[in-house]
This record gives sequence, C-alpha cells and structure tokens, in this order.
Amino acid sequence: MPDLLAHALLAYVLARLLSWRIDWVTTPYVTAAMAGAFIPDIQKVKLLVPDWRVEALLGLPFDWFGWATLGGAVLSVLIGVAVVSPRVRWRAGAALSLGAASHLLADALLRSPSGRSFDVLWPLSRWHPPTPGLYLSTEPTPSVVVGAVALVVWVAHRRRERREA
Amino acid sequence: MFDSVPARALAVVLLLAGIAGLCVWHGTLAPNAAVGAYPDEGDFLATPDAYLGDLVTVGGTVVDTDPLTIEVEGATGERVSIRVTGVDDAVTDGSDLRVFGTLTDERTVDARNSFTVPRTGYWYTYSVSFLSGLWVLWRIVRHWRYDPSVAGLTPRSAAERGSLGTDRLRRWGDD
Repeated sequence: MPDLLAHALLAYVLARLLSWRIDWVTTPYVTAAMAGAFIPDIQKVKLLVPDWRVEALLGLPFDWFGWATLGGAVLSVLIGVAVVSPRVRWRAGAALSLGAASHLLADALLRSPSGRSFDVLWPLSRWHPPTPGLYLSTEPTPSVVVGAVALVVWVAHRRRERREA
Repeated sequence: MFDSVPARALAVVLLLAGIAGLCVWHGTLAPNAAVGAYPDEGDFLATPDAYLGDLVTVGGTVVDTDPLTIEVEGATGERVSIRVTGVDDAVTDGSDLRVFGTLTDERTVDARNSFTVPRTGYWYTYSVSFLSGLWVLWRIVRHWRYDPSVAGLTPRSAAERGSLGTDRLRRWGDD
C-alpha cells in the first residue's frame, strides 16, 4: 500500500483476527506480523543509496527492487526464522510471512501510469499483474481506512480479553 | 537441524548474499512489454534507438509547464530533462509527474496516460512511515526478548509483558 502505517495496521488487523481463531497467535506474533509487513519496503534504502551508486561500487547491474518481490520477501522472512529461538521458528516465520504477503498484495493495487503493477511473484514469474490503481503511495486515505478498521478490531479485542479475564 | 548458533549465523550470511544476488539479477532484467515490464528512463536514456516508438514509463519532477518538461535521474544520478507531450490535465511546477506513453524521440514521451503526485505527499509518506517504524520497533522490544540460552529472540509471556512498564504503557503496548 502506501505508507508503512497502512501496511503495519493491515498486518495488525489480519493477525489480530487470526488470534481469535488460533490459540498460539498471541500478541508477540501480532507484532511479528507487523514487522513482516515492513520487509518489502527495506528496499527504500534506495532513497539513501541509489541503484547507480551500488552499481558503481560492485561493477554489476543492481536493482534494490529485487528485494520488494516474492523472492526477496521469502529470503528476508527466513532471516527472521534464523534469528528467533528455534523453538518458535515456524510460528514466527508464519507471522512474518503473513505481514510480508499482505504488504506485497496491497502494493500490487497501487496506481501506476501503465495500469500494470510490479513483478510481485518474481523470480517465479516476471508477469506484472494489472492494477486497479486504488491509491497512490503518497495519500493518507488507505491509512485512515485501515486505521478505522484497526480501531474497531482493537476495541473488540479488548472486550474479548476482559470477558475472558 | 540448524539449531546451533554457527549454523544459524551462516544461514543469515547466505540469505543476505541471496538477497544481494536477487538485486543483481533484477538489475539484469531487460524490459519486456509482453509481461508489462515496460522500459523506463533507465533503459531509454541508455539506448534510445532501441526503444523509439515503443511504449515506455517515466516519472520525474515537473520543472517547466510550457513546454511540459520533467527532470529525471540519469544513469549516474545526473539530472536529465524529458519533454512530455499529450498531457491535458493541469500540471504544476514541482509536482511529480508519472507518465506512460510513446517514446517519440530520445528525450520526448507522448503521454497515453499520466497523473501527478503532489510534493507534499512524499513528506507525508516519509514522516508517517518513519513514525510507524518506531512504533513497531517499540512493540518488538515490548513483546520479544533476547534469550541468551538459545541465542535467539523469544516471545515474552503475558505476565512478563505486564511487568515491563506502568499501567498506561501496558494499555498501549498489550493490544
């Protein structure tokens, strides 16, 4: 989607709803999903270190965008899997994957002048799916909409917790 | 398997190398209109003859409205001016114009579709994204801890999370 707030809130909503159904999805895993939602945007370091600078350094073609695809997300999630305690490895991996997948999906709906999105499934496929162009990455609307949903989910969750306590 | 610290450290190194490899590989991909990967300024500034008459995408800052001109980043970060024709909408100086159209000469694109992104939008996105990063970082610190016995991050229990701060912090941190 647009800004990271919308991505983090979207992951929060999805993970929190799942926590009502799946016992092991506790608050730390909701947070892990939100962290996973940041993964595809790590490539924004390109704003500080543009592709051409890395190319000059390496003497090879380079495109940070490779990180913001399915392949980059999978490898990044696996880094998360390696740094958590082996005991919670698969749960953390699942939560990170949920967040990263929600980010890629939301980004595939961004407006683009060609009407085609990005190669979200790369390196499995180079296909750029058509995008409905629901929003720009620079407008607050998605954050406001997802934020309103997140607020409802948050309140509902607090009521559930109080009932259970 | 892969539970030992050296094995996991090696895995992280290999995964980082894999990500770097993906970025290099992505950098070698040639445009392919058939899959929607249209050439962009990086492609047609390098070899304009290869793309003359083709559909391209380009985006940059509007530096002149008559004739409509945008500035894009060239292969080594230098500013390059591109003329854009065929845009009917009102465009203001300093906004970001994103264009899909035909490359009619090496520095001119005839727009088939275009839209502008106001400059202020970027400031909104960067600042809100930065604050979101701090927020999630704060949640990670509250909900996860480093366990030296397994050399890994491990979730805090609800009781542990509760004892971390004041009631007010608990209200906000434990949602």
